[in-house]
Parts: sequence; structure tokens; C-alpha cells
Amino acid sequence: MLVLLVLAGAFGPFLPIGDPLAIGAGPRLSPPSLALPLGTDELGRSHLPRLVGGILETFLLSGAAVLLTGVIGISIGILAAYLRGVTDGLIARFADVLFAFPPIILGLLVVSLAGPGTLAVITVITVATLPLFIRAVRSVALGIASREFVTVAEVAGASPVRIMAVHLLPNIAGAAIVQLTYALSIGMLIESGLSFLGLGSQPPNPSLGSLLQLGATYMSIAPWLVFPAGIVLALAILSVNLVGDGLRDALDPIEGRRLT
Amino acid sequence: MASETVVTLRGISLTYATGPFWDRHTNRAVDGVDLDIASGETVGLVGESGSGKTTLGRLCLGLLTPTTGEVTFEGLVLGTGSRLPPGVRAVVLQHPEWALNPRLKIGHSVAEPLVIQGRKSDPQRHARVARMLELVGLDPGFARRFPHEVSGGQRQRIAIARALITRPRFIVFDEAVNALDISMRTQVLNLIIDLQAEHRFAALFISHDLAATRYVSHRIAVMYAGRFVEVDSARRFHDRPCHPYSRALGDEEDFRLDGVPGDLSPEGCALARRCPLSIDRCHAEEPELRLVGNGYAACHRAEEVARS
Amino acid sequence: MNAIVRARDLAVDYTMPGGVVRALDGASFELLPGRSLGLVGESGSGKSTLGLAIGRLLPANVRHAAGDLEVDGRSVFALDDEGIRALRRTSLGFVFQSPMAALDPTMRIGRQITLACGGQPDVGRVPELLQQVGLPKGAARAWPHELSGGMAQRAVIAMAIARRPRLLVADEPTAALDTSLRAQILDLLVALKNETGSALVLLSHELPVVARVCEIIGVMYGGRVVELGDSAGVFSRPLHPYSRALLATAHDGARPGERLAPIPGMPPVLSGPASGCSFAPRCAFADERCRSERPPLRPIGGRLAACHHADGTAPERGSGMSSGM
Ligand SMILES: Nc1ncnc2c1ncn2[C@@H]1O[C@H](COP(=O)(O)OP(=O)(O)OP(=O)(O)O)[C@@H](O)[C@H]1O
Ligand SMILES: Nc1ncnc2c1ncn2[C@@H]1O[C@H](COP(=O)(O)OP(=O)(O)OP(=O)(O)O)[C@@H](O)[C@H]1O
Ligand code: SF4
Ligand SMILES: [Mg+2]
Ligand SMILES: [Mg+2]
Repeated sequence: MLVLLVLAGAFGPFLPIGDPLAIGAGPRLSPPSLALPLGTDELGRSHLPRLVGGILETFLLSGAAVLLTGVIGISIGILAAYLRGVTDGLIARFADVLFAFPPIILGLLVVSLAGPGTLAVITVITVATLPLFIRAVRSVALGIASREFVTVAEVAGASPVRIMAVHLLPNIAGAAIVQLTYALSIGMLIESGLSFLGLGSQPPNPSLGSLLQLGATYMSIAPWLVFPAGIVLALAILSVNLVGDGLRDALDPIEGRRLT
Repeated sequence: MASETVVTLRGISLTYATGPFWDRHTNRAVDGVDLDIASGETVGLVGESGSGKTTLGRLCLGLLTPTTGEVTFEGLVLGTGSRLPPGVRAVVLQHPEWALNPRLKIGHSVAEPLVIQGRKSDPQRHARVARMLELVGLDPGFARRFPHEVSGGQRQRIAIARALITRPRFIVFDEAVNALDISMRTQVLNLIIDLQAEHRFAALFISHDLAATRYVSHRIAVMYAGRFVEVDSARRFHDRPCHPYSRALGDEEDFRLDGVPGDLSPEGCALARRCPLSIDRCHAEEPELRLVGNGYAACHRAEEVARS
Repeated sequence: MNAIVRARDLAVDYTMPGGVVRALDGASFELLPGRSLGLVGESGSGKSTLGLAIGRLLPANVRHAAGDLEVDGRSVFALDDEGIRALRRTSLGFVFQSPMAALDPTMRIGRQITLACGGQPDVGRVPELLQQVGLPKGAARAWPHELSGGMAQRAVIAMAIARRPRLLVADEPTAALDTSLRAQILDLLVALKNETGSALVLLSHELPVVARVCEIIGVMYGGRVVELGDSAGVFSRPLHPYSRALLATAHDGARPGERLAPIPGMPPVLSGPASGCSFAPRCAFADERCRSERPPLRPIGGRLAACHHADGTAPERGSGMSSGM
């Protein structure tokens, strides 16, 4: 399912379904037809290519943001677990503070500082998903850091970088990837939310959120506009979560006993 | 051969604090320990479970910072920020199941100390790993397995191979052979003895197995409740330990202890409540570690014990 | 009476990307309810694999290659998932070889023992268990990482006996303990067996320890049970050359300065059924037949042994190994 969505998003621009930005592909707000499978919007743009473009936009934005979260979060989490003590405490409190901000408020704050647009969306998603992620990585890394092979390497004279890269990172990678897929689904929600409020990707570029918002506006006269975007968003989030669960099972600690 | 001191402990104590700050419990795991370990020497450390052996081993390596006292390694005070060159120390820790990085193949784990030393491109690396594995009784094919694909005793031997591969100056063996059968144990102990004769490393051999400890060690220190109660040469210790606790560890009928290990006497000798020989003086006055015969013992009745 | 656990020519393989390891190569034994069996063998001989197989607790890369293992008359490999869970819950108790791995690092010891009791033990049950395994009452409040190695081991034992299982499988339960505690724990296991009539399978590498507490001894080598019989007999007059060699290498008798000799040679690493006797390369009695023909586990002098020469037909070489110590 996810694969399908990603493919659709990625290859959408090359599919023979029309240009998402071409105004006047058909009459305004026309209902679905054979030529225009999902109808047109208020400017007469074909809705299907806009939807496909929206998927791409949403995935790209939240994906980029989550990647950022991953890099920052893994570094900070491992560092906290390795250094322990005061540093660890500070990082944990910092994550708690960040966690206490509702993402939308945060979004308004960032937008008021940086103006709406791609950068704002990425920042907001990163800041919003980071605390949860740091917490997860840190707790896993703490468990690994107390294992004796880390101590043995320390005694042998391994540098901190080596311990973090060879002993901590590979052992938390599985858990981190799983957490990242959850972060991705949260990221997509936030992106849509921000775009819905008009704080995200700016017209004329479509994103699932702005399409939803559009659909909501014309709900009574053009109900075909709102549903596809809503359904796609729900499906996307669902499938990202499913992939996360699948990964969790696949990357389960190798030593796990068969307990069934 | 002149044997210089490698590790020196002076007045080492360590107190663990557990529980939240409003409900602190403290536990003095090591209490006023002095010890020198010379190069080419193995000191055996025995004592009941929970007597502080592992804690002392970690202190020797600077993995724990002592509450009081100072640990010196070849003249360098540990914990003062000075870094030792890689590969001069090694350790085999107590839990073999956590001793190996689950994501590294055995061959990588064993070679890691060499890599840390910067000998990554040493063409002999693989040969040395294979040789080391063979010395601890493992087929070199084990190098390609992951840690979860070997048995408990095999994991322990892999950890020993890793500790010995850089020819370190000081090694701590913490219950390093307890998962090995007697034949394998003999083989590994012989290996330690031979490598030590060749490379003259200093070693601390922690174990509850008196026979194995006597076999590899030159001197033996007996620990109870964080203190040394007897320190003597392995040979004399074998013939006649002069502390009742050592006798009890040796499973001698007449010296069987009562109660559980944590049952410390608040005053006098920590063992007074459990010791079958205790007299009034034991409950009142704490025995010092003093010269008895040629070794040291902390017991008011050590002379009598030595004679019996 | 029906056996509580019976293995018949059980063969188990571990599959790895690099190949297959045969961990059990036709192991057979049986144990009646309320009796105690000690399985001894060197490192890698398949003890843990056999112990885990009793509860079907083997890791995922395992393959049941041949033979069968029955608990209470039912094959553990044939039970469905619910069936095996029910069996574990009602009848089996396990002490795993790695105590630290069996403890949840995020839970206090007392809580873990409470859960092991089934969630709602009688008041006083947890302290009672702690006392039975020789832990101070305060240990209930401790986190696993605050315990010394031996203390963790005892906490795990307390959890395993909490439900008074009908069959207790203990894998090296005393490897981390000193002599006095070891005696205490072994006495506890035996007392438990006598009181509740539960059966005990003790896996260990120490023959003297096992001989002291178990009624029956099984000696394992290369994934097989090579000798099975009453413990006094096996200990005093071992039949299989490996059992003899095992008894001949004891530390306790060593004088200071004396050098002990291990059993020469390396333990086998099998990748399929051994074609002959897997001890042959290290055995002083081995001849051509030993290398080519698998010795069956057959009755000899009131005992079972898997050796072509166990009945004394062997040319008596290596006389130093002929009896215990
Ligand atoms: N991290 C810790 N926090 C609090 N207490 C600890 C910690 N580690 C050890 N202790 C306590 O310190 C005491 C000594 O522990 P240590 O591990 O040194 O014993 P040991 O002699 O190695 O015992 P064993 O033979 O069982 O391994 C024990 O009472 C233990 O509970
Ligand atoms: N998960 C696994 N994957 C591959 N091989 C394994 C696995 N577990 C065990 N083995 C191999 O199977 C053999 C038997 O292992 P087992 O753990 O049963 O030995 P053991 O008798 O308990 O030894 P020890 O006394 O060292 O614990 C060993 O050679 C071991 O290397
Ligand atoms: S001093 Fe007394 S109590 Fe302590 S060990 Fe000696 S005889 Fe026993
Ligand atoms: Mg210890
Ligand atoms: Mg085992």
C-alpha cells in the first residue's frame, strides 16, 4: 500500500494524467468524469494530478524533516547514554520541555518568525518529533551502554567515538528505524495540519493538507474534492504505521527466544 | 627477574548509594583495601557472593571511582584524566551473555583490541585471531558466528581470547572460567599460566572456585564484606589458611558459617555473628589485618586456626 | 509410572547463514516424576539446547531434525502454541544459564518474583522465597543491576521455584556461586523436589556437584547422552571413556606447583549426524570401528552407555584414566 502511494507520488509527474498546475484543464469545480477522474478544483485544475502531487509534497516534506530528526536524535540520544550523568539529565529535561509544546502552537510560533513555507514545515515537524524520538533512543542506548562489552572496549582503550559508532549505534539502529517510521506518520499529520491552516506549503503547490482545506471549503458544492485527499492521508498514515510494526518484528533482538 | 609493581591500591573504599534522595541506602562494598600486584604475578580474589570482588576488580581498572583512596597503574594515578595507551589493560567480566557485542561476528570481537591499537591492517590479524581461538579450545570457524550462535561456555572462552590477544600488562578475570567444564577450565588456566610466564602480565583472578584460584594464583586475598580478611601466598593458603572464613570457603566442616552473607555484625569483627569460633572479644573489637605466620589475617584467633 | 520427560533420539540443528550446527545428535533419556537427573558434559555438548527443548524455548534458527521429546507423555513439538504455554505455566520451571538476561532491568526484584508467583502471591510468599535462596529481605527493593552476580542467580532461582513446578529445569544454577551458597541452593532444589514431588533436571559441567544431588546422571558428549545411570555408579565406576576422562581431571587434588592436563584434543563441531563415535578422535580406546560405526546407547551392567568398548573389551591403554581421580 505504502509502496503504491510512494510510487504514485514519485512518478506522478510523469504519469499521463495532466499537469497539476495547469489552470483550465476543465470547467471549474466539475464533478469526476472519464477525462478528469477526480473532477476539477475552484480554478479548473485537474484534481487527480494535484492529489498525486500532494502526496509527493507531503511525503517529501515530512520525510526530510524526519530524516533530520533521525540524525539529530540518534546523535543526542547516544551521546546522552554514553556520557551519562549531568549531560544525560540535561538532555532528558530538554526533551521534556520540547515535548510539552503542542505542535500547532509551535507551528504558529515558527511561522511568525520565519514566515510560512517549506522551511517552517520542516522545522516544526523536526522540533515536534524530536523529543519523543530522543527519549526512545536514549532509553535503548542506556540499556546497551550498561552491557559489559562496552566496558570491555573501554578498558581496551577504545575512543568514545569508536564506542558510540561500533558498539552503541548498530545496537540501537533497529529500534531507531522503527521509531522513525512512527515519527514519519506524525510528521505527515503535522504537515497536513499546517497546510490546512495555510501555514505550510504555499499555493499553487498542492499538498494533502491544502487539498483537504480546499475540499472543506467547497464541501457543500463539490464534495468530491475532500474525500480523495482525506482517504489518501489516512491510508498513508496507516501504512507507515504498519511498516513500522513490520520492521519492529523483523528487527527484533536476535537473541529473542521463541516464546510461542 | 625484577618484578615491578603494576597496580597499586591504597586505602580504597567504595560506597554505593541506592534509592531516591529521601530514602537513601548506602552500601559499603569495598572498605579500606590495600593491594599491590606485580608484573608476572596473579593475585587470586576469593570470597562469598556479594563480598565486593567484582567491585574491587572494577576499581582496579578505574571503571569505578573510589570514595576514598587512590588506584595507581604503573605510576599513573587513575581517574585524573590521564589516558593509558590502548591495549595495556584487559578484562573478562562476569556475565558472558553480555560480554560480546551482538552485532559483531566473533572474529571481529576478538580482533577489536588489536584494531583499537591501530593494527587494523596487520596482515597477521586473522591468523592471530584464529590462533587465539584455538588456544581456548574453539574451532577457528567460530570467528564467522554471531554471539547468539554459541553456547555459554564458548562465549566465555571467546571473551578470554579477546582479553589475551593484545598481550596486555594487566588483566582482570572476573569469574572468567565458571561456565567451563573441568577439562576446558584446566586448558584455559594453563593457557593463562603459560602466557603469563611469557609476557609477564599482572593479573587479578576473581573467583569463588578455590581450587581454580589456587591453581593459577601466586597470592590469594580473601574478601568478606568489602575487606581483606586474609592475604597469603597460594602455597601456604593451600596448606593451612589461618582465617576461619577461609576455612569455611574451603568447605571445612568445623568452620561452617551460620546465617546469610548479608548478616553483618554492627560492631567488632564483621563475621562475629556467623563465625563458629567467635568469642566476646570478636563482638567488641575489630580485628586488624596483621602478620600471622608469613601471611596476613584479620582474626583474633588466627593463630589457633592456623594450628588446627 | 509414566515418565515426566522422555527424549528419544532427539536431533536438533541450528541453522546459520554460514551453515548448520548439529547441537543434539540423537540424545535419549527419560525421567520419572519426582526423580532428579543431572546432565553433565563439556562446554558446547548440547546441555542448554536439551534443557530449552523441554519447554520448546529454543531460538528461532533451530530445526527439529529427528527424534522426539515428550513431556508428560505429549510431544512438545506437536503441541500448539496455547498447549505449550499451558504446559510451561502449569508444569515447568526454568532457571536459565544467563541470570542477568532472565531479569527485567526495569523492574525491582520483588516485583519480578511477585509476577513469577502468578501475580497475587500470599503475603509473605516473596520474603519466604528470598529467604529460601539466601537473599536478604532488602533484595526485594533492589534493581537487577544492583545485585552481584551470585545474588542475581539466586533471584532467578526464586522466580523459577515460585510456582512449585512439577518439573524444574535448572541450567548451571550454581555456576556463579561459592561453595557454601552452592550447597545451600542445591539442598534447596532437592528439598523442593522431596517436598512437592517435583522432578528436577540439573544441567551442569561439574560432575561432583551433580553426583551429590541427583539420583541419576547422564553424561553428554557431542550432542548425545553417552552414559546414563544411577549417580553413585557413574561417579565411582564410569563406563564411557569420556566419563572417565572427565573424572580424571579434577582440580581439588592438585598440589601447588603441579600442572594438570586437560583431556587432549578439541570438542567436536558437528554439522550433521556423526558417522562414528564423536569422542573417537580424543579417545584412548578408539579403533577403526569407533570411527566408522555409531555406538548405540545400550545397557551395560545396569546402566546405559554408548561406547563400543564400554564393557571392557578395549585394549587397556591410557591406564591413568581407568578410574575416578
Ligand atoms: N551498581 C550497584 N549499585 C548498588 N549496589 C551495588 C551495585 N553493584 C554492586 N552492589 C552491591 O555491592 C555489593 C558487592 O557486590 P559485588 O558485585 O562486588 O560482589 P561480588 O563479590 O562480585 O559477588 P558475586 O560473587 O556474587 O559476583 C553487593 O552487596 C551488591 O549488592
Ligand atoms: N543459536 C545458535 N545458533 C547456532 N549454534 C548454536 C546456537 N546455540 C548453540 N549453538 C551451538 O550448539 C552447540 C550446543 O550448544 P549448547 O548451548 O546446548 O551447549 P551447552 O552444553 O549448554 O554448553 P555450555 O556448557 O558452554 O553452556 C554448541 O556448539 C553451540 O555453539
Ligand atoms: S575474629 Fe572472631 S569472629 Fe572474626 S573470624 Fe576470627 S574468630 Fe571469627
Ligand atoms: Mg561478582
Ligand atoms: Mg549451556
